[in-house]
Amino acid sequence: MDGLEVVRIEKSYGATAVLKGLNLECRPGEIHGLLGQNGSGKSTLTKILSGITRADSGTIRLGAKEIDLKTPQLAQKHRILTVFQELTVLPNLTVAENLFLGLEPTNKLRMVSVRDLHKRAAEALKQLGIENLNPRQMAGQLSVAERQIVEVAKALMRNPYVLILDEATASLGPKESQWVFEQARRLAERGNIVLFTSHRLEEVERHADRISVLRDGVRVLEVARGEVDTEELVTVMLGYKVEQLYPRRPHVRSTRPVLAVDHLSVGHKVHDVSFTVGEGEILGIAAMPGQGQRELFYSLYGEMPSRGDITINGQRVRLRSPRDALKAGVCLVPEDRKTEGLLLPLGIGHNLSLVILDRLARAGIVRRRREREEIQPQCQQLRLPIDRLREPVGSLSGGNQQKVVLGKVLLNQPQCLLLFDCTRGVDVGTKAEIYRLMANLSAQKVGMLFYSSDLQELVNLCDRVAVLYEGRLIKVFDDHELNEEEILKVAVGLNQAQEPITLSHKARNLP
Amino acid sequence: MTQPEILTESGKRMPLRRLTAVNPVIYAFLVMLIVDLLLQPAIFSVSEFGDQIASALPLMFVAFAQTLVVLTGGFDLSVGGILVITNVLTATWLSSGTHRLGLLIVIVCIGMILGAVNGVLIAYVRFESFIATLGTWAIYDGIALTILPTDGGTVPAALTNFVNGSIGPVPTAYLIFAVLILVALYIHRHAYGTYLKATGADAESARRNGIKISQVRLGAYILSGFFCALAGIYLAAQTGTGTPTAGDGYILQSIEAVAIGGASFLGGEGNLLASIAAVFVLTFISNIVFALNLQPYVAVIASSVLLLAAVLVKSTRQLFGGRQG
Ligand SMILES: Nc1ncnc2c1ncn2[C@@H]1O[C@H](COP(=O)(O)OP(=O)(O)O)[C@@H](O)[C@H]1O
Ligand SMILES: [Mg+2]
Repeated sequence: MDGLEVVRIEKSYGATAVLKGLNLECRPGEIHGLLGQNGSGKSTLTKILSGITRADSGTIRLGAKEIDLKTPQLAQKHRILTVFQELTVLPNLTVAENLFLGLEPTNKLRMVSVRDLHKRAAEALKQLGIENLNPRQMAGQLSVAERQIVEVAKALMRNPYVLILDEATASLGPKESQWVFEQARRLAERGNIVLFTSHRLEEVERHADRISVLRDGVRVLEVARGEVDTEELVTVMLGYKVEQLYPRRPHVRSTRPVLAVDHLSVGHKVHDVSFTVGEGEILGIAAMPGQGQRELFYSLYGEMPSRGDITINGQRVRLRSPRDALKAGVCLVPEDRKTEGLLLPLGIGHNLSLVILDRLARAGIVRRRREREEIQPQCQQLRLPIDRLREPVGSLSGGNQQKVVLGKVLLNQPQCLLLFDCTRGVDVGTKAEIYRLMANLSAQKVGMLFYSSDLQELVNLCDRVAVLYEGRLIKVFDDHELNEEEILKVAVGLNQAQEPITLSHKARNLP
Repeated sequence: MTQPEILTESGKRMPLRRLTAVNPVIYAFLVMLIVDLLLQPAIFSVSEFGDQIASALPLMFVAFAQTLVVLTGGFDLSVGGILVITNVLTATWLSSGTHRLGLLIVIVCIGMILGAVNGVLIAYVRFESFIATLGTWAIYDGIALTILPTDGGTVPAALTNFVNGSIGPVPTAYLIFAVLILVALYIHRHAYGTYLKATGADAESARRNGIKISQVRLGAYILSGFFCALAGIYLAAQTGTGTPTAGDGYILQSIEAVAIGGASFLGGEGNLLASIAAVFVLTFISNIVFALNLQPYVAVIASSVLLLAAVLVKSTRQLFGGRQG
């Protein structure tokens, strides 16, 4: 067969088999969607195809010829280019240096001409339709979305025959995602192959010509677009039927606020924001990337200084550090599991007990039995693998890692929970569990402020949704008004008769 | 093309930004230079200043070596060991009289091989650089002492006269210094300079970008060995003898210079020219201490205070400036 063919690939890490004889075919000229839960082996396959890790056995054929992808350089030589799930943009290099890494335009002395580099980077960006990215900017100062764009641009510039996008749209807004798929389509139309993974099912259904579904390291389904419906895809993916993704819960309209925010401003990013979250209420925040949502959440968690009043459970509080916030009963579940909240080399048990060490310790000595007693029920509630308590958290799949973060947070018994895009990059199964957990917490009268880049989630889970735009809350949708399309219109600023947001945002969402 | 928005946004804050964006070692350099100049103006004649450079050159070579390794996110404690081996070899081999130039080249190559030993241990056998070079430092020191147990040996007069003399009207030290600056510029402009930074900042990302990180690391240690060899040879030529115990002082001083130059010991950040400027700062400090007739340890205290100040500037910047990671 022409195109890319993966035959009976096997890969284990120690005793855990990740890929168990995986087959996959991508035809020239097609966009191929790869679906699967977290931990089903998508990223592992990606890494094998880009020469980062080696398969234990199996064959890879490109254009009917067997190829050996021993190193990343070899993969690039075969014009297999990958956008990895973890960003590989180097923060201490400029955008231009990142784009041309390994392809620097050099003179006879092998010296890089900086002016030439910037000029060519600007041209390349322009050709790809990215107007507002400065090639001289340090990549470390870009927002996550912008870095992701740089990552995709970097792959596109290298003229890929096979372009692999592993969760490339996870941190992107609708506009940027659309750009990514336009580029993918253009590439495919010229006879190339695009293989992409995404946790947004509708994205896969809309853009993939064919879809392969992975489960536990094997392909369980291969279909053309439209051959099966969403529900069936989910069922195949999980291996069981999800009765209900979004739990049914009563609409909460509480008069007792657990969190009241009055005229809150954070730096130049959040302006004069006021709202309340009632007991058991889930208040959604809808926003395009970089509208100040990060600053809002992190200031409520004490990680950023703010002006204005914050009242928690009727008490006015000053939050100068996360410690203050925790004391007041506020917890944050962040989106970035890798860098925030988890100690990757430590085990689940240690990560969990870290938060409650003072409860566990007597005279400074941790009582191990007490530790087990407290942690085991938590693991059961979250359906964490209890037999793997000692394994480093870094080796767990993304969904399980996020559950460990949640477990940590819940051990603190918070009254107010800040959920910052905590379902991003998490598979449907885990998502359903997180939703169920949220519903339970709501029943226990925990108030939640919930930002998600997935509007569908907001609409289905929240009691109210407030839209943040350029640092201001510009509209609040009540339960009966919740509608994805309407929210989106407001979130992109359309109702203000303003220009729609361009690809690279003026407001930067990193502190 | 339309002006990128990002550019205009930071452009508003330009004046202050420019001032704080400058590497602070430049300010330290200027302040120390002026103080030194006021205290002892005589030093700044062409020939006197040449002597200043000459006495700072060995440390410059070593700081150069250290910077390259620190850029990759490593440490090189064996710089002192490579320096003394090449130093005593220069003082013993060259006295015989034949093939002197060839022998010098061999000595430089030995420096590079010693560096390569570190590089292989770290890049391929995956030792921690600190531990690996701690070990080789002791071994290299021991080898040097075996070759030449006490100060001694002789360096041919031709070599000594060359480094301590001048070419035409220009003292040789100036020329060597100028070449060093050019080499620094060359490395930073070379694609390899970018790979060094990339590898140091995030080795796994660099690898996924197709950079051969093991080769980049190995290269840094070989270059380090090269510059340490130059330091060892230069020191021998300058003093006219071999000193098997000369190395140890350079290890911490080179690290100090790299830190004052604003490099990050986490890797990926650092500048060869800044490290050279930092060596000047250290030289000026000991000059000032000498001119004020203070005890030598005052110089040690002063440079350590400066070191802490450099680290402080860096961390406050990270606190208030944009996040980098
Ligand atoms: N370096 C590693 N060491 C040990 N286990 C790993 C490693 N990388 C991945 N795994 C395991 O392999 C499984 C598949 O992971 P991955 O390919 O990232 O899944 P996906 O991308 O589909 O979410 C997970 O269970 C994960 O724990
Ligand atoms: Mg993955």
